[in-house]
Amino acid sequence: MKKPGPGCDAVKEKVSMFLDGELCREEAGKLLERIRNCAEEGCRECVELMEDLKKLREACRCPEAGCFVPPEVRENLKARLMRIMSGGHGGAGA
Amino acid sequence: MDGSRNSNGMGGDAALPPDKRRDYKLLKRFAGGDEKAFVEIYERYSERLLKYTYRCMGDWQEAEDVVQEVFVQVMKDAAGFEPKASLSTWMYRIATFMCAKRHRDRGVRKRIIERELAAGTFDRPAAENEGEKAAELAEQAAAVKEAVAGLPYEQRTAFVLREYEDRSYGEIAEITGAETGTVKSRIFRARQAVRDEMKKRELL
Repeated sequence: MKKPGPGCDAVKEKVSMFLDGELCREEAGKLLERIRNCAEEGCRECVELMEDLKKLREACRCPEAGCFVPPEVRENLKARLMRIMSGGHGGAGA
Repeated sequence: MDGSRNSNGMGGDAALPPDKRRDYKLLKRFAGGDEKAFVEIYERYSERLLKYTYRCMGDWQEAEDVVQEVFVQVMKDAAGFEPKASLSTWMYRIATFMCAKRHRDRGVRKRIIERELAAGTFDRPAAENEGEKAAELAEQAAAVKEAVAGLPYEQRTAFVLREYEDRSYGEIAEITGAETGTVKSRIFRARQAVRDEMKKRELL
């Protein structure tokens, strides 16, 4: 059964890049082939990493992960900026 | 890095993509004294900048202060903004710079902790009764948020820009002032740390 070796960390980083669409087609193809071969030889580290990172992404992008700006924060900020603008802005070079 | 500077030497706006052209025109109108143009810029960017800075700082009061500084910088530099530069990237760059500055400030960290203790830490999603899948996702989303809050600042910024703001590595490099290779490894290390934390909690 194959075990992770010294070159595997670089492959794992590529898994992360692959999910971000940051690998070219050729590199992506090589990566997928390597992962498939490793899995066939009994090492599923990269397959599991890819599955976990996909789940992480889903958790970050699901509606439940949404960030709701409290209305008072938006209102305060706008009021503060309007005060600053009326107190000093004169267009260019203000 | 000087987060307050926009950097672009090109002139003319005829060949710009519509978004950039619109931003450039708004800035020019504002620089000419039209305050409504500033309000338009505010409406367009304030919400996402607040969310971004909140995710970086973990505190709404700090997020509000940082975004105020960003818009004040826009007011000051509107006249000198170069048409080909991206207003969005520039604003995110200032926000990232300001967050990093505040993050290094022990007084700010102390204030955040005090407010968290008073208010009951980070807000949690409220979807736990909407079916098993939604509950699971809600639990995962909350755990990710907490794990992200514990990341070193540079990793946290890169992770937030990638996962929540959907920025490319190139854009993240431009916003944070880091090399693309550094961005790549920060994102990877952040993901590994978040993954480890999720596994510890048996959420993966």
